[in-house]
Amino acid sequence: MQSVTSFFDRALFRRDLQRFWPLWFGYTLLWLLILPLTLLNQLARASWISHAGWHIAKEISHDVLAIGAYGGLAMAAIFGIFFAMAMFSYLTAPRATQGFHSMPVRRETLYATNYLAGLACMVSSIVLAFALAGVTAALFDALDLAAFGTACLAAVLAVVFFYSFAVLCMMFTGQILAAPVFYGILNFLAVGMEYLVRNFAGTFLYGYSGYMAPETFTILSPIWRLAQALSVRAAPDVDLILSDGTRQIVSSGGYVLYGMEWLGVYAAVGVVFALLGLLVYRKRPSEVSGSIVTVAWARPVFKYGVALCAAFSVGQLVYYLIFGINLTSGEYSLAGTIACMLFAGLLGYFAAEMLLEKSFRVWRKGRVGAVVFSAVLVCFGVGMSLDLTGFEGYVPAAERVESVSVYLSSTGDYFHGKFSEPESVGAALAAHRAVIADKDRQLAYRDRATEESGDTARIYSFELNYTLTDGRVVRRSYKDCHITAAELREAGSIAQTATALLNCPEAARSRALGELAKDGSYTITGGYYNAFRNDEEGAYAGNIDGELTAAQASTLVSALRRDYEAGRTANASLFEDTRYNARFRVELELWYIPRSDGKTVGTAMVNDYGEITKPSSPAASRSIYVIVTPDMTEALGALAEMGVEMPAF
Amino acid sequence: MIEIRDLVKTFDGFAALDGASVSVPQGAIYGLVGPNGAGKSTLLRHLTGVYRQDSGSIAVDGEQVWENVAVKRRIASIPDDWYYFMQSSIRDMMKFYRGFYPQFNMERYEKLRSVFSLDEKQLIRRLSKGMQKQAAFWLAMCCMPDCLILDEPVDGLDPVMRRQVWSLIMQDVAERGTTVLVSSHNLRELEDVCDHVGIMNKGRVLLERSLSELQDNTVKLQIVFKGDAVPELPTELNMLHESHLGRVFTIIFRGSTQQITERLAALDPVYMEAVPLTLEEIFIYELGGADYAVRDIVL
Repeated sequence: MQSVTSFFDRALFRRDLQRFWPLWFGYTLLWLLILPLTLLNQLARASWISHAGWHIAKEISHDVLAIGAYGGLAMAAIFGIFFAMAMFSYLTAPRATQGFHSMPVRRETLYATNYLAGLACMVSSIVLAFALAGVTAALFDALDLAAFGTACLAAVLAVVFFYSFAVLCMMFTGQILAAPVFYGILNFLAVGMEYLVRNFAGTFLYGYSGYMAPETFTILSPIWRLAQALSVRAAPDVDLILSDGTRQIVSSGGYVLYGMEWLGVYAAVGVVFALLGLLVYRKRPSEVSGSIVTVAWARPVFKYGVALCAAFSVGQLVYYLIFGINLTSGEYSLAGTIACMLFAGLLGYFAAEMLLEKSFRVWRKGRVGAVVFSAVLVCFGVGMSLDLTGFEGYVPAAERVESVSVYLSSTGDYFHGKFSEPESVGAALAAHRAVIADKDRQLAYRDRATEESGDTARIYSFELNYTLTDGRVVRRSYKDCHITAAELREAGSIAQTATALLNCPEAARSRALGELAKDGSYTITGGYYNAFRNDEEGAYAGNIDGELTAAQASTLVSALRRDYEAGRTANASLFEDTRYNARFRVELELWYIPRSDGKTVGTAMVNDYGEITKPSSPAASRSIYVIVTPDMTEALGALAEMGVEMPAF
Repeated sequence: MIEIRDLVKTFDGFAALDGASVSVPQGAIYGLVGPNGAGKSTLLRHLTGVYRQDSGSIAVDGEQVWENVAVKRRIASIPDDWYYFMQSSIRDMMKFYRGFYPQFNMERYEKLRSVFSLDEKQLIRRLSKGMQKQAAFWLAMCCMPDCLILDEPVDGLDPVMRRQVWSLIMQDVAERGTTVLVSSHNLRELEDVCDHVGIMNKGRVLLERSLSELQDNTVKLQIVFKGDAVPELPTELNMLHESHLGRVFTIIFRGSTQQITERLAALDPVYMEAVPLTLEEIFIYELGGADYAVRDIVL
């Protein structure tokens, strides 16, 4: 009669705990050092502050949340693999595997019991550490139960994911030392490979801007993703109506752990991994202990995966080591890159084959795969360099562009902003087309050292981020475009189109007024001026500066708007920033607070006694930076009324 | 009763078991013999549920063994390389076994303490190989198995302890009807304890019979014929081997002693006598027919 499946065996569980108590003890000790002991020190130091329990509790809650999140992440990531290696170490020694598998216990029971034993060790240590920390905090009247609970939960969720992930890695290998290697690599493989592939693409694709794009596959690199997602920040501000009728945003002074939802998602994935591990274990034959990869279908994945990773990492590294001297002049060698990648890829391929076969004689068995791999790699490299996908020449149609963010820095002026008006979008598209059309000449410039003179200039960086109507984002980035003054007169040249882009209405308005170009969406709170005077030869001859009141700053904004509408703001140039060449200029920094729901809001702080204090400064304040030139008569007039006479001083 | 039918197992394309079939009657001591690499240990690992067969079946009293806890609780095994935890003593391992075998007999454990005279609190890894083997026997016997699977069981034991162990096993067979399947190269020893024998080669069981049947079915004759040459023997006789020393010919036949001597008597030999065959001789001559024989090589 077939017995009913049981997923837990008490004898085995007890045995696991007895066998691996040193690891359990060490892990617990570390947690106790990290949390309760640190907390005790902190509280003992702060205990002399009388009536400050509330304040200390907030500080402690910050630290506890940080330890739960970051400490929990690090501890789970490191010890997850140690516990998995311990609990399933018997699968990596043939004698032990046979010993366990000959016992009257099903594979499911073995797996589930060992899995639970490891999980129980890790979770119990965390719970103990947080419980002791909570008692310690309570003794000092600094217990924030919500923060302790959240932090403990965060650490436990991290354990569920990383331990399960490590166990799954163990299921795929029969070599104890291969498990941490797989685990470590898989934790960073996606972001690492994405970076390497982008680096490869960036070498050969004109205008490729993959470096700027957010990483697509970070979710597949758990440590990376969680390290980015988790953060302990001040609790959200709360809107309050004070007794005098004014509305204030009150900062509670408390802290919140952001990114818990990511931990939840990963913990759920961890549960799935644990179940997958069970499935793999059931299929995994006993005789594979000692093999580097235990599952048949994973063997080619491992082999070609190692080859690919080696090609992109070691291959590119070898290329930089051999050909790096040429890179400063922009001489990228397609053949050199592919040769280096091929060399490293084949090295990786045969190394993987040797590990799989446990033999150095793998040429005969692996040669066909090696040829296939080489052919694919060469085709990929050549295909990318020939731009078979049409990447380099692609410019979105104007009607499909919702907005475009432009960053343009040059020898002269620079611009960074977002366009959505058709005229501005059209200017950006024209400049983009001009850069593409001029590709060969620009690459030729890169290959030879060129000196700049008064008639030449460089566009150091020209970046375009199109947001299309269907939500897609198209990114391009061009570096070091060489232009000449003569080209300003050539229709469709880079110089002409980029200058037009810099001076399109949206750019000019942004340059003159920044965010204040939108009327009524802000409250001016003050500012600062710095007036410079040059001598006859254009050299610095002195300056005066001072603060502006909110009213003065508002007056200046109105004057600046009138100057802009009258066309008196200076034109931008790629060759020089003319605003600095005049006899004088006034650099203005104007402070403002964006409005929400049509009401100006400020912030209030809560003191150590929980009382709301009046705001001393507008914490949500922003500023714009504007240069007033001699042509801007309205702004100069307003300044004169404020006692800043130009160029009288 | 252990019933193994058409068992096939391949490792990376190599057929370690190629349709092996074994039938061990209830209460029998079955000796599984064969050359190195014949597949004996692989077969035993299937029987203990370590390996899963590619095809074929392994059953104990009609129940499949693979992942069957109820059946595996009735089986105790002592592999060639017994596994124990690095930091464990015999007592620790006893507790471990007791957790898996509900019928683990503590009374027997205490009785066997005097037989093996091992320090149960000493770490097993500090014991000699022979002592570790004794520890394995101690624990396996306490599991009160219905089937005992042994792979080179007395390897490393001193002669006294060998006898002691075999006596314990045979006592268990006699009293409890335990079925024993033992793989060994020590044919002399197997001959003394086994009542059934199976000969394996290249992943297959060439023959299996009771020992007496096997011995009855193979005849070793010493014959002296008139003249120096051997007269032409009847073609229907299944001759396994022939050698001679002077005029005395030693010929091994497969078949019944009575029938063969009657047929050869017709050739009017000067002298003819049937000599008893040892298991080792049967093993050698049977495998000689399967292209596995001692070769005369001059170095």
